[in-house]
Amino acid sequence: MSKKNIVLKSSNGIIFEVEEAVALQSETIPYMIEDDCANDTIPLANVTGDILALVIEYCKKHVVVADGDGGGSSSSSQEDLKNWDAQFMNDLDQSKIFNLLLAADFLNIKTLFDLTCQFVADTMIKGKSVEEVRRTLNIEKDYTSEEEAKARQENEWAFK
Amino acid sequence: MSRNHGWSNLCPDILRPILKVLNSKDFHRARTVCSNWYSVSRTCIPPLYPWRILFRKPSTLLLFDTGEEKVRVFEHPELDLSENHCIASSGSWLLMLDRRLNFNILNVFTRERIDLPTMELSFLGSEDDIKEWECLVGSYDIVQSKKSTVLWINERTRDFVVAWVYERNFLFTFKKGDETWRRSLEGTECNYMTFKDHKLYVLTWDNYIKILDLSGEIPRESLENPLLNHQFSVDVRPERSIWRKRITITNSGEFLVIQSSGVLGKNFLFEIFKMNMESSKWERVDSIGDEMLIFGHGVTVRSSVNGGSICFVENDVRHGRNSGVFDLATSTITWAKDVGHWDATRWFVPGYG
Repeated sequence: MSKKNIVLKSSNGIIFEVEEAVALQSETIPYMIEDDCANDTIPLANVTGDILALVIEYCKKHVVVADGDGGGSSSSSQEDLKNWDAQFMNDLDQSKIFNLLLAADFLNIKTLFDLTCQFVADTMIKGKSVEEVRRTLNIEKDYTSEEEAKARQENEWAFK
Repeated sequence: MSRNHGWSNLCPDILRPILKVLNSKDFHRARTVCSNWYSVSRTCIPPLYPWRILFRKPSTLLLFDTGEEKVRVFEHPELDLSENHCIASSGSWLLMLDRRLNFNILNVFTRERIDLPTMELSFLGSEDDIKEWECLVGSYDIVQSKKSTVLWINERTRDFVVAWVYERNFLFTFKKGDETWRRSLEGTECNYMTFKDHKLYVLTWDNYIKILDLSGEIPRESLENPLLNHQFSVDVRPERSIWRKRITITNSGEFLVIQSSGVLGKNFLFEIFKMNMESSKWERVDSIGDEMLIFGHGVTVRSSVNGGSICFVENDVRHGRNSGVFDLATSTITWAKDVGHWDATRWFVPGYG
């Protein structure tokens, strides 16, 4: 029996055709199918082609394939998947990670969203001083020194 | 995705999960990065982990950060530890009491100090009470009072509540803004207490649970108390004797009684009980989920490292020689790292409150 495919279209018009099981890791896509917002092609106005390609790469790796016995089993062992996830994230630059985070949120792919959050926390925030976090993420200090001092004072211990 | 321009302006639903996976120290640093992060952080419960504080006379506090396995030394030159005793803590704050029954609240890290008014003799009422009071100063067992003392403080607003029981019969409370201590629940013999969400929970000597509502100007007993008629009682196994008992309110508001028991010929064990409203019986619970409980602190916290466990100090267990962490699932103990001589020790949770 041939598997059903779903066609996704990125915001910049790039078309991806994927197996249904791959696409359905997104909890948003089923609603779009139900809403009939497209019979053939699902337009994803919030996700660019390069990011959608990453999302699909992730979903393909994580798709749970039905085996011959009828039970579900992951296509890779847990350990392999973990290593793959780490490598996958490591290869991305900061702007891709940012957009991947937004895409995972929009498409509602929980495991990818959690993975990205954890990666951001571990590599961009953990163990860094406030100044370092600002530099890393290009964030401007948008309040006065007094306000900052006050916020800091609430948990002075964290700065020791 | 116009609502998300750059890391600074991430919408709360995306930023919150990132902040949530940080350890408590990183969390508190990250929240001061910019104003959006700060306001989003106020909608998260930060992950916490327990530290140990060791008091060394005359005025040294050794803080053992269990997350980083590091000891930090804080000198408090104004604090004389041979005169002052820590009888409760909340977040980064300690409730200190001296032998003249002067209370103050002290921030471990910033040394900020809030002095509470002295206890007025008139509080105690009759002349007999006053005589008793005079005897009290000097003979008062400060160490014993730990079980019946509560401190709660909000680190941001500095709102605080102190509750203290003298000789079972005298429950005093003081909250920020009060001019004097207030006496409540007259006629009730109070044994253990804990405080959460403006309510003081009291386990009486005859094992009933009373709730004192401190949200208003004057404390009053709350009649919205589902446990009012459920006296705490559990079967005592003959081979087991109760060593210490404490009460706790969990994050979700469940009232728990915790006992440490001496088991003959065995190690000690902690047991947790809660009321089953359907059967009207106190039942033992095996798990507190991913929350961590500090024996004697009266509240549970969501912990990044010690979920499902109980932190205790040496006096909480029979023949205890050191502090440790008891894992409820496996009934195993991880003893605290030895960091040299101290005069007193306790657990505390920076960032709580």
